[in-house]
Amino acid sequence: MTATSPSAAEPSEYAELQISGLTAGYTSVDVLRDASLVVGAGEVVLLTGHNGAGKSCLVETVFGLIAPSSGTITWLGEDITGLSPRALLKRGIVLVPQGGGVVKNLTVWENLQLIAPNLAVDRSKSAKSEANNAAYAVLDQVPFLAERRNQIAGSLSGGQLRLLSIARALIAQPKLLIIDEPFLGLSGTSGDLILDLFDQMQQLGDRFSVIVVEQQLFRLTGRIDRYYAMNQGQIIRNGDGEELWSLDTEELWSLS
Amino acid sequence: MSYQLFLQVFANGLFTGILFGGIAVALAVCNLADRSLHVAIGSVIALVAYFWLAIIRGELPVVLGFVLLVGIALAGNLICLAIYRWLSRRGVNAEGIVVASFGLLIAGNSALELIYGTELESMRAPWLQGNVKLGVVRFYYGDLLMSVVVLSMMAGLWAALRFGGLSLQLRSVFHDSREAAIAGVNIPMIQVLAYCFSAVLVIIIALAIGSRSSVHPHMGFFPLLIGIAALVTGGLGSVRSAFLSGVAMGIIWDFVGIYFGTVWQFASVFGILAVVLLTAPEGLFSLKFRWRRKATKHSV
Repeated sequence: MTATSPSAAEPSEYAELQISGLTAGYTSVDVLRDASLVVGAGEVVLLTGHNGAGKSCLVETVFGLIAPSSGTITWLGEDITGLSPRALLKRGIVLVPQGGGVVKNLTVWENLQLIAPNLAVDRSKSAKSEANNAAYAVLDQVPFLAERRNQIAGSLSGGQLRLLSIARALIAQPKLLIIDEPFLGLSGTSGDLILDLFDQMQQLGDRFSVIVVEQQLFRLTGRIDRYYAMNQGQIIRNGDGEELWSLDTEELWSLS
Repeated sequence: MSYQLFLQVFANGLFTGILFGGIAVALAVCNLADRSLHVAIGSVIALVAYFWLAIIRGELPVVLGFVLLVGIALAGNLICLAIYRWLSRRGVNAEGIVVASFGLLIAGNSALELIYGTELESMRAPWLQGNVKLGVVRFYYGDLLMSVVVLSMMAGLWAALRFGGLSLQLRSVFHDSREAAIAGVNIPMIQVLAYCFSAVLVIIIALAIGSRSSVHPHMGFFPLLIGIAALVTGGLGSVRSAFLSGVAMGIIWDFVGIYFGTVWQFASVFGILAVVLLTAPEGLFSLKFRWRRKATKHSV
């Protein structure tokens, strides 16, 4: 097992997403301090840590919901620090936030449709209709949503909402998918449905990169290429997936 | 009270209500777009009224005058929005922005007072003050024009929220701007649209109040208070409820003025607000929402 310090996240040739020295917070207090990590092409990267470690703050900063006070975020060589979520979505970066990701007063179908016009990189009709067609394709792929297409999203259960949220991310055909606590508060069955969808997504076309924030590590056994563990706003440890699963239970527990 | 007087008071109350409803909607749309309370709208109302006086004094053509008026109302509202966004980017929360908006109101009113003094001025729009009698009820042109504009804008907003490509984007921001942002909705664009819509309402509100009473630096403060009362009574989060509670308050306002005297008008509006806050603190809209949810509980 190799436990590495944050400074080990050096610039890398294969990195698609590179975060260097990121500091950010929800108010004037910095929650995230000098965090650095890299995500390679097609990698599934786990971000774990105790409650309040700064995991959600990190992914929300990457997605432009929080403005960083210092540090840089680079995506495919382009500096995307401080770009809006809309601009990031057009670059193929999609966030499925913790416990939400849908507008609860809209119907299931409206939620799927909502994202489509915002994905088009230009204002041409063909780009918009292509994105709209992707919304129809998702309904075919996830029959559960097709059955409930006219149902108000707020009336769905927690697991169903999470499925809708992940299915909506599919429409965006992401190059980088960021999922924050996908299994939070879900039963085993609902969690399995999400894992099935997750696997389906990974098998579709080009494999895309994923950052998954999770504390329930056992759910992701065998699915992680690399991990980063956080504590008090800093990355305290990282390594590859195999190393993570070779840790004993006590060590795993201490990480999450 | 004769039935003629009753009908006349009701008609006047309806027009007053549409005016109050218009103010509440101008506030509600801004609130839905950025979750702030655009209190500085009071200064923009006074600014537009004074600008109208300048246009009349300068004897500019009416069309050019209206174009300039739209420009000044848009500039007033959009400058406020730019300040709110600048504050928001620096981590100021919604409550802090409301306080800043009060600051803008005071600064704006003080600036107008320094420039124009505190004297009351006449609106000088005789074509707004003419009237026509239908049966036993007299209708003033200014009231009719104001009602047509406010109701047309309400119809336009209703259509925009239900039809067309922008409908979903608007509704998503109005319901949950954070989730809308995550779905890539252009939040700044929606905010600009909302403040522009509010600016057009501000023009008609300024002209209606100026022609009903007079123009002075603090003329926007009274409609602002009524607008906030209507907004809270209807429940934050619903344009329709804000408008309807504004209309109801206008009718009550005029009847109370006739039956009990004008000193009771403010007391009646804020009495209703107090009752609503005590019985349904989230506003009448939330009450209706709860009933609707109960009714559909088993169907979903």
